[in-house]
Amino acid sequence: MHRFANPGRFQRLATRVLPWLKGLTALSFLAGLYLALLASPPDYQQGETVRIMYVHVPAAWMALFAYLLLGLASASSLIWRHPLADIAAQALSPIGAAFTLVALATGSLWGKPMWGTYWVWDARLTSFLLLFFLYLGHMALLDAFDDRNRGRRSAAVLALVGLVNLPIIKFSVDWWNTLHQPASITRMDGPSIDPSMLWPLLTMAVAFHLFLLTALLERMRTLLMEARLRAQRQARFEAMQAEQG
Amino acid sequence: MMEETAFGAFLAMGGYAEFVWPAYGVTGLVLLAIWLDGYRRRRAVERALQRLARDGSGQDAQGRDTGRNDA
Repeated sequence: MHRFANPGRFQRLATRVLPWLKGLTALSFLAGLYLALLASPPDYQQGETVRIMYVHVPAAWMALFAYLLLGLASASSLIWRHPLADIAAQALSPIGAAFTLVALATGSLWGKPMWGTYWVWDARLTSFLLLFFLYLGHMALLDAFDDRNRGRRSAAVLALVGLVNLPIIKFSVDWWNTLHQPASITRMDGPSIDPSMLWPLLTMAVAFHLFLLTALLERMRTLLMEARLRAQRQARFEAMQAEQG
Repeated sequence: MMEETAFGAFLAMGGYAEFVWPAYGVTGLVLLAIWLDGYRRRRAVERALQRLARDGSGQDAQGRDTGRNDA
């Protein structure tokens, strides 16, 4: 019975918090945009292109964070068969793919003026492109089988195998010679970035986190309703067959 | 006049307008697209559930057949 009780409780909770989350997301995006475009100085080396960082870096963080969540959801789906974990995994891959696309596109637009090229096949960029294809593969596998459970299991296995890519992305800038700069925020000795640039970045990061959470809850709610719709149709279909037979 | 110049400078982004603005544009477009897609799906399933509760036709508001399990 708890299999149904939990999604029901989730549904009620999501319906209650989503309006607040949407408002908070919009407000933090406004604050982030103000800080990123108006209130922060240009970089002494990169000039105004540094403003690309305020969308590029949070998008890349969210692309990785969403994949980590996808891996956790896939593991819980395979091990405990929790229905909410399945739903979460299914909701996460399009959102993660969107963030990955944003990170790739903005990175490319930053690379052209700074490195002189939109794209290089170096370790960071290539492993990030692989992340995008992992998300697409996950979405494709979910839909690839007539048996929904088979699709879910295959997609979960792909998501778990793809977890290997996360440390590769994270440490690619240290392990290989890449054009991409190393981390400046998540360092052992503290962030090596000026506060005037750290604040817009952190505000944007909050906005991106809230967007991820809002989009995830909204999609999970929709997927639960779709499951209910399927169950109701099935029940109706069986009732009709019973009448005829 | 002064404001116009300041605004012009803001738009010019120190000569990097062609990179900075598309970066923000593509971010906004992709996030908007993912949000709109989620919103449309939620509306569609809400309408289908309402319709099923009303008459059980298994069709959405546009009259399209939406269910493989319908007779």
